[in-house]
Amino acid sequence: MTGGKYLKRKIIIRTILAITLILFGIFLYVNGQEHKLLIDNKDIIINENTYTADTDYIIWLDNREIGVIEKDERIVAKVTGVSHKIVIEAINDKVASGKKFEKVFKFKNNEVAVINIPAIINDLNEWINKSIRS
Amino acid sequence: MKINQNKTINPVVHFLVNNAVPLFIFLLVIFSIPLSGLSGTFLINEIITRFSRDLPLILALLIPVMAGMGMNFSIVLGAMSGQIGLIFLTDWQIAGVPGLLLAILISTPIAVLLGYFAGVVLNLAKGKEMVTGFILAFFMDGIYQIIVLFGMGTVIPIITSDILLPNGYGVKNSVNFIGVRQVLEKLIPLKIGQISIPVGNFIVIAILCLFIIWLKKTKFGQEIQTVGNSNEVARMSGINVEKTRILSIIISTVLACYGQIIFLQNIGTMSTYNSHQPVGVFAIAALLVGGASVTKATIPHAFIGVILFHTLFVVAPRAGVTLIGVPQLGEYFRVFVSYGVIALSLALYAWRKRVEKENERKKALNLKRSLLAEQ
Repeated sequence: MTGGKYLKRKIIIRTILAITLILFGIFLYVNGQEHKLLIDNKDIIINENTYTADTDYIIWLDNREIGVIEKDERIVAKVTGVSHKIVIEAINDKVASGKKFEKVFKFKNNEVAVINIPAIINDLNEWINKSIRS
Repeated sequence: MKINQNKTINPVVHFLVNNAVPLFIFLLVIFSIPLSGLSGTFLINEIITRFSRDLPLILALLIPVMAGMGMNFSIVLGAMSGQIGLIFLTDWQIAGVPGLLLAILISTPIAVLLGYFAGVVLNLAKGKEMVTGFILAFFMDGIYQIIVLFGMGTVIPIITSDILLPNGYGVKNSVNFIGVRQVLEKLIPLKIGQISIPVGNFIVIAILCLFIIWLKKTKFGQEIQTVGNSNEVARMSGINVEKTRILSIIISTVLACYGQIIFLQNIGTMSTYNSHQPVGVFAIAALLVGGASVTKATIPHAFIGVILFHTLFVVAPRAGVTLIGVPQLGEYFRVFVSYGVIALSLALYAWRKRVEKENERKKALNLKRSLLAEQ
């Protein structure tokens, strides 16, 4: 192999390696980012209609039980990655009702979100409010 | 008297002189353990934790010793690179294993660059690498402080205001790594009785050890050792001495960078402007405690050193309280041992060198005399 060809091959290999590492870095950045999630079990007013929080709920985030959120309470959770699933189940008289509500959501870079449970129960589009963290 | 080759010297004395530092520390440890009053389980847990988090930094020192450059005080540069990676990671809020990998990915090019710079500077100061490395670390510390204190939040964008000082630029004195805290330790949890085994850390340590063993066996490894034995011989063999030395320092700096990331993810918090400063001294002291010298350092030296040095670190403060009722004594003792061990090892090294030179001179003189007598 001549010197020129060897040098060319070396440059190509190094460029491919650099690009691979940059892509791997982007992959890690997107899939490893933590997003803050505020989950509200509070009354919400949308288009002059009030949707009230009337009971407690058990919450699962990405199949991981977060715990019970009481009426008029806000809890903070953190999720890692892009796609997530929230499942809530109402508690009536301290017993799980068996009726579950499920929502799937996605995060972009540096996004945080506020999720409102009465909005989920009433199947409103405003159940999630995303913003960029500061 | 020649320490290594004189056949007339008593083997016990020979052993004692060659292992003076580890034996002294071993005796101190044996003396301090009962005085400390610490339970066996606590002590073992502490030693395992410190072993797993400190060893990678000590392993970073081995390659420059092989290359004849002595103890690389400039591993502090690697530690700074690791910290910069972790600051970005905290800002971007990347958690878990991806976070650690990303920190490594960000800090590696910085470590390579700083390692190259250190290598070039150390090549200009051949024969005085250790003191040059020591001062170089102070010099780079200034640049690091400028970047972190004035660059971040102004020239370098920082999204998370929580890690910035109230004036809007410069990183706070302390940064928490909640997202990556003890990720390695929790990767494969194992508990034997009351003793926690950080399997993840041990796997990383095993990989680092295998890398060093493998490197020694490669052509480049052989070149490093040839350069370490004699620059002139290496040059005559066609080895690019300067390049080999620079590459040795780059490898050391990159390993130190990984070592600092492993260390800080275990602690879970970082003193932004201080965490990197004692890295060189503590790692070098630990390696010397293990019986290494500025010309020879092996993986077993690192293993023995980290165990002895950190056992002393754990038991000395408590032993200080028991002995004279002053807990601060332990802290002073740590510093005293760290610097004292380095000073003692360097003095022993200089003494051996002088004795060897004197022996060679005497040998040459005797040869000359015998030749003259024959005539």
